[in-house]
Amino acid sequence: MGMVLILRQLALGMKMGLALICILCLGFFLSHSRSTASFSETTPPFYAQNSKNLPAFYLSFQPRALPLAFANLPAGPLKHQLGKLMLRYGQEQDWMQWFQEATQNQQVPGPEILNQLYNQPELAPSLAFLPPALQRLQARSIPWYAYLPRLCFHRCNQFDEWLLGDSTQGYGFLQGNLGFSQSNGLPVLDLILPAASKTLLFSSFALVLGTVLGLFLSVVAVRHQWPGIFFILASIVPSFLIGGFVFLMFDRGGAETPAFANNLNFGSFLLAYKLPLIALTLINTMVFAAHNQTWILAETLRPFFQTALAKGLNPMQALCRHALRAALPLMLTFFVQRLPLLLSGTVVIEVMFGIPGFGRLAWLAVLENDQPLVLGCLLISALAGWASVYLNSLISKNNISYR
Amino acid sequence: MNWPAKLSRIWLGLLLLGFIVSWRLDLQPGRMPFLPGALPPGSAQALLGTDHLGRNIGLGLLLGIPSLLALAVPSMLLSLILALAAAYILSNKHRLNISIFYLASGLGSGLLLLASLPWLPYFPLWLLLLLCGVFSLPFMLPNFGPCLSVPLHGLIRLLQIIIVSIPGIMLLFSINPDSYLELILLLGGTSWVALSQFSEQTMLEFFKGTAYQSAKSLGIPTLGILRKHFFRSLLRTLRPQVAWLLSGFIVLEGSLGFLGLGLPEQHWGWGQMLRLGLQHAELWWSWLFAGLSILFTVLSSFILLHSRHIGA
Repeated sequence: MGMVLILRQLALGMKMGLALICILCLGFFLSHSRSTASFSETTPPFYAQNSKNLPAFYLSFQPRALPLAFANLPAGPLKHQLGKLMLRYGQEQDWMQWFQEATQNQQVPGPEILNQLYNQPELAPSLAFLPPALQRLQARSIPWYAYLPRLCFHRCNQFDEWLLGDSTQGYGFLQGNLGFSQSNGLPVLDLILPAASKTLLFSSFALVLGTVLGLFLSVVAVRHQWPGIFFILASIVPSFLIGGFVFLMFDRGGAETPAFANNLNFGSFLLAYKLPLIALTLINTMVFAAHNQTWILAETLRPFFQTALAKGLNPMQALCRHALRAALPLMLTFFVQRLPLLLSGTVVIEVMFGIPGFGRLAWLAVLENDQPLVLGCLLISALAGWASVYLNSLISKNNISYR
Repeated sequence: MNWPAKLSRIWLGLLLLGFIVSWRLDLQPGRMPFLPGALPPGSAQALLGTDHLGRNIGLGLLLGIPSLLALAVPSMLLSLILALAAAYILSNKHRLNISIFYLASGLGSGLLLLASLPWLPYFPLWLLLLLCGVFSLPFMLPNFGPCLSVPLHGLIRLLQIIIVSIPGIMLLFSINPDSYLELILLLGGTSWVALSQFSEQTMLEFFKGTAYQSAKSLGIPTLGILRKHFFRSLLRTLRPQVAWLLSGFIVLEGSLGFLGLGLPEQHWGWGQMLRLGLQHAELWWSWLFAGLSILFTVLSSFILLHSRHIGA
């Protein structure tokens, strides 16, 4: 039995791993599918010249006799003529060095002149732009296989550097480094952790408050036979409407706002976060009340509850002692299911009230197209999601898991 | 029918009328006229008033309807189709028999897709899909050769757990779709899990029932039995779930508009109106009508689909 459980947990872990691979694939998709993807910064000249969007990578062919660095030169008639010269007269390194210096100094001759040089090597000493090493050109014979094409891979994407690490970024994601933000250069983890702690602080407070209030309201609703539709409808009201309502009803101005609140004691924290706390508590209360009412109501229809009533137990006592206890596993499962929302479910509220938390950080990262930060936020929130699924599979009374 | 359901019908009817009007008049957000100053509701030039830039609120509400319907309804339909397909596979414990020929064509189409990924900015998506479709044509041919048996239901279970564990809003943030098609595919493709679990349970009960066994013993094909005897009742059972889903999509459209994310630039939505209106909260009409429209739409679509179960 124990072995089965271990195997089941292992299988779950493997599925989580596959989910991680999915996210990494998503990162790959992100890194090249957008024209403004910030992962891509090395613009290959051909695409820059033609105002094209960047691919993640591209492939090219060139004769094996040519150096690898030749593949990185911008395509065009000039490159074509230079390749011909290198193949015919050798001295590849000298040609490459000359060409790079001439490009930097903007003294590159036209392709016609290079074509003339290809046909008449005796012109070389008279050409002032050529360095002394290239003044004496001698045609050489190269074997046929030197003309065989070589496939060259060109990378113009930073996603693999983010994934595997490189000399500038140090360790990559696979070594546990989430990379650096593209908008301000700070490590992603250093940005996420303080923001997540702020979010967790107020959202967990609201969750606990909402759970308790929701439970109380649901018991009262069942006891007094309130229509179930009220809480259900209240629970589907969008969070930005609730936030707007709270903002318009309770905002009295004042200097205590979440954006400027640092190192607060509990009283100041409540004062600074009162509006988002009210909004989030309202949302949580309605959601929990709607679900709890349905579950408790279902338990009250079962025979054991009717028996308890028939034995003369007070309806409130019967509700709290029997119906509530019977519905508790469902409530606990639902509570655990909502735990990941502590981080990712507060985006609208954080944006609305200017809380420098996790959701707002992710939102700003999307607006600034900061892909490492977006992926970091996605991974952290997915970790929370996996933890919730894992926790649910552990506490599930009937041992139901995703098989 | 009592009054909540009646009011819901009236509101959704008004929405439909608004959609037809905006479609017939070919209203475009870019062509919205700017009136001088912020007019209060009831003025002759703008019945519902104008916002701080002088844009007609009523016209803005009309413009928001097509965006809302274009997103919520197709996403919901896609989600429903995916959920039913997944539930059918899960309840039948299907295994996918892959012959070597299948495998080759599948690998071919996969490699083609992989090779074409870098060129996505240059080719339209439909072209890539078409190419993959051409490569996948052999899948339609009868099976032959040695087979590999892949548990399809296991793959779907895996997909379910992956989708469930990744928070939707963060996924939306990461992909940040910039067209309705991408958004619909993303929303429809990631919100079918709860529906499929519910449908699977109902289908399992049906498959174990005597009605199915009797029809099967008469030689009626499974899909025929499902079509004649099951789907209608399943859809009736699924109505509350669909109500949750549809209202969720409407809320999501509003949220995305409110956050200014994930929708095409030319998009004009009620969430966006609400955000701009709340920046000038003293002009109460610039946020009130948009907020009420979202609220009424969410509630009325929910009530209408959920009416049988809530006794409305």
